Amino acid sequence: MTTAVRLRRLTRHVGETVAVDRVDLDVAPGDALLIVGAGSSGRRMLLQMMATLVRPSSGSLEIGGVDAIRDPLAARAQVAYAGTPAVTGAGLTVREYLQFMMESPRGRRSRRSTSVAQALDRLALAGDADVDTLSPAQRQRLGIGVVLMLRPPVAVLDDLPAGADPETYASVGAWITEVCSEGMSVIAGVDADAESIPWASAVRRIENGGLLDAVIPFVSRPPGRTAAGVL
Amino acid sequence: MGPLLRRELLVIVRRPGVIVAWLAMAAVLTAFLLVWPHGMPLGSRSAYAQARLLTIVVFALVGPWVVARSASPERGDALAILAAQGGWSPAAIVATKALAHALMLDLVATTLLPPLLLAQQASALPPALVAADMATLASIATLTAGVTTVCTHVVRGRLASWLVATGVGALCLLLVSRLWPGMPWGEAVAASLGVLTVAAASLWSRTAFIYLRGAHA
Repeated sequence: MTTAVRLRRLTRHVGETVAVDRVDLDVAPGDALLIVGAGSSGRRMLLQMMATLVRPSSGSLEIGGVDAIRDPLAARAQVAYAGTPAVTGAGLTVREYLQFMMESPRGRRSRRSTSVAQALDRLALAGDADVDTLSPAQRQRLGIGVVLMLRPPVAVLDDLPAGADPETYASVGAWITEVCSEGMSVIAGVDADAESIPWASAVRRIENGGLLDAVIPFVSRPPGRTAAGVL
Repeated sequence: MGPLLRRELLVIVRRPGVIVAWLAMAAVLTAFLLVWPHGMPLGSRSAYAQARLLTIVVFALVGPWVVARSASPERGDALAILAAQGGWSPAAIVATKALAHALMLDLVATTLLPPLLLAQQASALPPALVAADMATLASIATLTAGVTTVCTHVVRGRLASWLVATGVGALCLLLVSRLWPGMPWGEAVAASLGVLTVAAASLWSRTAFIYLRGAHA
């Protein structure tokens, strides 16, 4: 089976600093990988490289078997990103923005995309609300919703917001579980203080640009507890 | 390109810039014709020629402001993200923005038609002159839309990009009017300059907006 994402000694320098240091990683289709890292740990840079938004300084990066360094645009067809910078729907309502993205070349390519009405329901966002007036957490949720709605082979979701509205995040978490069961790979990034995440099939920690070898054991949700924390 | 164009036009009409420009330009030209129905007593230009000159100057100055004020806000990294999310080429986004703004400025120019017709009637000149001058405004609209769209992506800050676009656009029009005075060459050159500016910016954006510039660890 083709690996969805394959990193070998992936490195990124920012000036004199090594932001991401020789990271090796394999993500299989259907995996839901969580990368935990505090600010300046290199988490965002790593995720943005996997989304082909930042060019690595050295190493190799393949997405869906495509060399993302040699041909970033071909690799980008396999991966979509939600994170920072946030959604780009200024001037539109939430419904118009979702419709706009559905009509995009990526949306038209997507064969199993979710409808706008379903997406609004799962995101618990009002369709008539202006994107400009959304809170940062709502904008982030909308960004995640767009990626899950478009169903690329690989989704990279950074800055998963923690804390608020457990029901909505449980709904989004169920959505992630659903798309992973259909073979989509999800790679998500959260802050170091994140709690356990029910949908994650594996958790890795990043510190000082290095991805730690040890896999953090998945902590299952205690009975009777809602999916609080993140997603 | 269809969704991008629809989205840009939707954003433009929801911002107050177009309405403000529409009202301001019609008010200035109408006020001029009401105060000086036979033209200002300066030089030998007819009332129509004076109204035409005023129209072109006001349009060339207000146009960049409308574009800078009404454009969708994606620039730099946000434009790269939009292109990556939707699977668009950054060049298509830049070109579509310029096209949307050229259409919008053409729409704004139509508001000048009634005062120009009034001036033409007052000066007892053939109506074909007004049609030719509307073509002139359309060529200025193309130039302004192209130059200002490019400036909003190249120059940092909305105010700075507006000022640079106004200066560059005015300079281009001045040069064109000196080198190719009169229809149709001046208009053709002005419109071509706008199209060429957008084409060059689109080519540049194909590489400039592939990766994020402000990436942090």
